[in-house]
Amino acid sequence: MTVRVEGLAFAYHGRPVLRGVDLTWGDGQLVCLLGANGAGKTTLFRCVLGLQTGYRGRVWLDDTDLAQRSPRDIARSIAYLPQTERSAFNYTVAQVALMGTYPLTSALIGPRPAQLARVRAALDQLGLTHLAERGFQELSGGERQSVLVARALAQSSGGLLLDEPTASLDFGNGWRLMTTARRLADEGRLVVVSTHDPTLALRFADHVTVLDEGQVLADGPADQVVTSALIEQVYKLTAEVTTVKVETGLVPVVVPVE
Amino acid sequence: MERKFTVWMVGAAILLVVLLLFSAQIGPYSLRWIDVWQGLTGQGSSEPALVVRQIRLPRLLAASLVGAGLAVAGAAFQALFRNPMASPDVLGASSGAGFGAALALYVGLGQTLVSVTAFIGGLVAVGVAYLISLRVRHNAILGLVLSGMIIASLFNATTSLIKLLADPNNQLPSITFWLMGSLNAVSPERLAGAALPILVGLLVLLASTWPLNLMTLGDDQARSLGVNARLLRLLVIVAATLVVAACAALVGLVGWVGLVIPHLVRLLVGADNRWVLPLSALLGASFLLVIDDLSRAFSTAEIPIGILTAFVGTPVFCTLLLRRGDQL
Repeated sequence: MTVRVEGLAFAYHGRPVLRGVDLTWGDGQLVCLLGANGAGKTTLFRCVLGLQTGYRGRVWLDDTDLAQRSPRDIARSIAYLPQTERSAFNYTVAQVALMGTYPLTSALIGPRPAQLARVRAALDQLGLTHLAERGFQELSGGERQSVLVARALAQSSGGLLLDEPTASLDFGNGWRLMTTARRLADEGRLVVVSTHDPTLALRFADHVTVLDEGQVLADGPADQVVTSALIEQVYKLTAEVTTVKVETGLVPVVVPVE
Repeated sequence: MERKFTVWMVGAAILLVVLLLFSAQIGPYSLRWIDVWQGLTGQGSSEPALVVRQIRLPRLLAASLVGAGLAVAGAAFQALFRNPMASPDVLGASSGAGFGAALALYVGLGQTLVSVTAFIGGLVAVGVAYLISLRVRHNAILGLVLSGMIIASLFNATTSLIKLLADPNNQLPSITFWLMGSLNAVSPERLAGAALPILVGLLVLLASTWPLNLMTLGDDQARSLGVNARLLRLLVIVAATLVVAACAALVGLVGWVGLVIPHLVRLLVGADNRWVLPLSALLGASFLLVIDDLSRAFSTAEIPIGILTAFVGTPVFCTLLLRRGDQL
């Protein structure tokens, strides 16, 4: 699964949000999308998911122009994990995960045994089988996020976009989610995570794309992109990018020094 | 869950059949089981058999169809509007139908034309509300709810105006009774006319249950999972409006069915609309049969069903809210 964006520009009520974004993300990569608030990360995601109309430029999923694809077709290629999800109705965990199989089913007939098996496998892979019949709304934030990952797995798409997935999670759950994201990329998927934490990007990502005021400020391997100069420029913060020694070796961290 | 659903569906189907047979005997003209049987199977031309075929059967079928239709339309709108408090008339279909009927009664049209204008009134109201909502770009659901409120208020005010102008001795009572809902005037012909849009609408809604589940997550989520949200919303609105407008045209305004039944059903089988809509159809039909039985049983002058659904619906809904409010 490859996402290619060419000259993407979008303005909201006359205010430019994206100003000519060019980038390519490929298979088996964990990409972290960094940028200050209002840099255009969410709009970029919305464009790639086909949720945003009225943009200029092109978005390609594998070698097809997004504009030529139906929502169902896009969903077969790329899954989306929102920060949180609220429904007025209390579906069970299994029902929430089953919704991921929608693009693989007939809208009229609904899920078949093959899709039910896929959901069972996804819940099993994430250790959620024991929660299958529990109400989604009764779960903790971390469990909910895991169920949404299971839904994305059930969707069986080659790409996965996660919009600030750790924002509402505690430290442990955020870390575990990133570990899962890393594993999914290692299995051959394209996983793109938008985040505000450059340390997470250094630790987990192969590739980092930085947006600044609607443009790509930097794009490349994580250790080359995330530098003190970049942190200063994007977040207006003096920070040191360094390594700390832990049991398993040296790990990179970003430490603000102001 | 599927097994639990099947058990409830079979139970609800048996309940509906039993209620149909039981209800066929109730009424001012007392009937025996054998008369009901002969009437239903088309045997005999005795007066009791004719009463069954010409009066009771259309009435029972109308009650079942309207009950099923309003319950399913309610459940579909609740999913579409992501709000368990949405009722089938949220877009103004009932207000439009009420206006259409009041206008027709005011100008002195016959029973059939009253139904036709009520049906058209319902469609027009929702059509206008939908067109207005298209101009609200940032939030489709909010746009629909607010434009529905605007249109409903406008049509209600116009209906009040017609009542004010109507002759208080004959027109006003007939308008008032029509607005309270009744199965008294259902004839085989009017039933046949209303059955088509109700059945078509029901069929479309029952065929949309799987994507409707995804619509409850919001437009962006539904779309990112592959649902053409705008198209589905239009389809569900058209289908539900056909149902609600045709129900109103057939029996007048009947509230509460579309609110109480889907809530009850969700407590039985959970939130999945693949189970909620079909079971709502069966239990909605049974509910309105019971309401109609009550309306005929209490007194010789029938109590309008719109009043009874409120009397029965409000305590049931209140009990559900107080006991299981967290799961509604």
